[in-house]
Amino acid sequence: MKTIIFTLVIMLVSNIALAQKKYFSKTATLSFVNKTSVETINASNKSATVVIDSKTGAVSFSALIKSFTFTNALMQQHFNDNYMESGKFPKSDFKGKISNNADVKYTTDGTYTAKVAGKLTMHGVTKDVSTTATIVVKSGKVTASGSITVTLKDYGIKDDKIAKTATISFNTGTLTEK
Amino acid sequence: MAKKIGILIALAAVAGFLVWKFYISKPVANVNNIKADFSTLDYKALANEINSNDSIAGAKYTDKVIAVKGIIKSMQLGDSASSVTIGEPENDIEIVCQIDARNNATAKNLKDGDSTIIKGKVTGINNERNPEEPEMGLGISFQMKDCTVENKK
Repeated sequence: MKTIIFTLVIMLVSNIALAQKKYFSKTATLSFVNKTSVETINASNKSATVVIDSKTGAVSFSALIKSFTFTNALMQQHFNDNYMESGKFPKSDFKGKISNNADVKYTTDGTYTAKVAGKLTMHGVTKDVSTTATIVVKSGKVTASGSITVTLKDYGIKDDKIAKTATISFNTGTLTEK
Repeated sequence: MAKKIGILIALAAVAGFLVWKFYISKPVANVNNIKADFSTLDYKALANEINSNDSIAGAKYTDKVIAVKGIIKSMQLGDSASSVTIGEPENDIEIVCQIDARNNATAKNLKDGDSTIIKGKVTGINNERNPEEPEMGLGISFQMKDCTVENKK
């Protein structure tokens, strides 16, 4: 009897361990929108990396600033040279945690609202930020999306020609299990 | 006098139009029309170069237009833009290529495992290796944008 119970406990623990995975992508999409009455700076980056640890709720994003794509050459030049100074600050990242991670069932189909808080580093400045993300689990595939609005002045980005805030949206696409 | 003013206004309008057309609204250059600075690099040789020293490789290739030959490891095809990753299963160094609307059709009909040549502008190297917990790292992505598939099917 003891052996059966022991075996069942081992199986249960193994299942829990197997269900706790890391989900990642190296081709997540980030979009950056800064809207003024004169023009809208709209850039996207489809080569951001993201990792979500389903066990701890840890989340991290990183993106190269020069990987943001534009249709307009002058806008791309201003974004890199004047606003983001991508030569000096080539990378931006976010490291945080899902505070309600226990509510997200990574192996059960559903749509979950995740509360995310952490540190966003942009233009060489690190600030605490928080937002909500939508995590969708469908047929074993996990995706996450959301957005955050940042005040550019807080990150040392000052220019009268652009709006004071920018919205950064993210969409991980289908995440790979690790 | 009125005639001179009219000519000046017309010239100013033409000058304004030219500035708008060829400077303010100029689109990002299409790599199809740019000669590659490095062509054609083999994935394995490039991966070895990055593995030896990613900082030196980054300084050498960033902002350059290059063409890389390798095997497609994964793809995310979209209606207006796509991304194609060149790599090998056991190598954590990947070449991630963003293809925009202008050249998106060149990625059509490609599939994982195909051998291909992709030309694009290098935007840098994102080193996400984790020396403390190697199995938790994401490796290195060598990133390119404004890409086009050169040997499309």
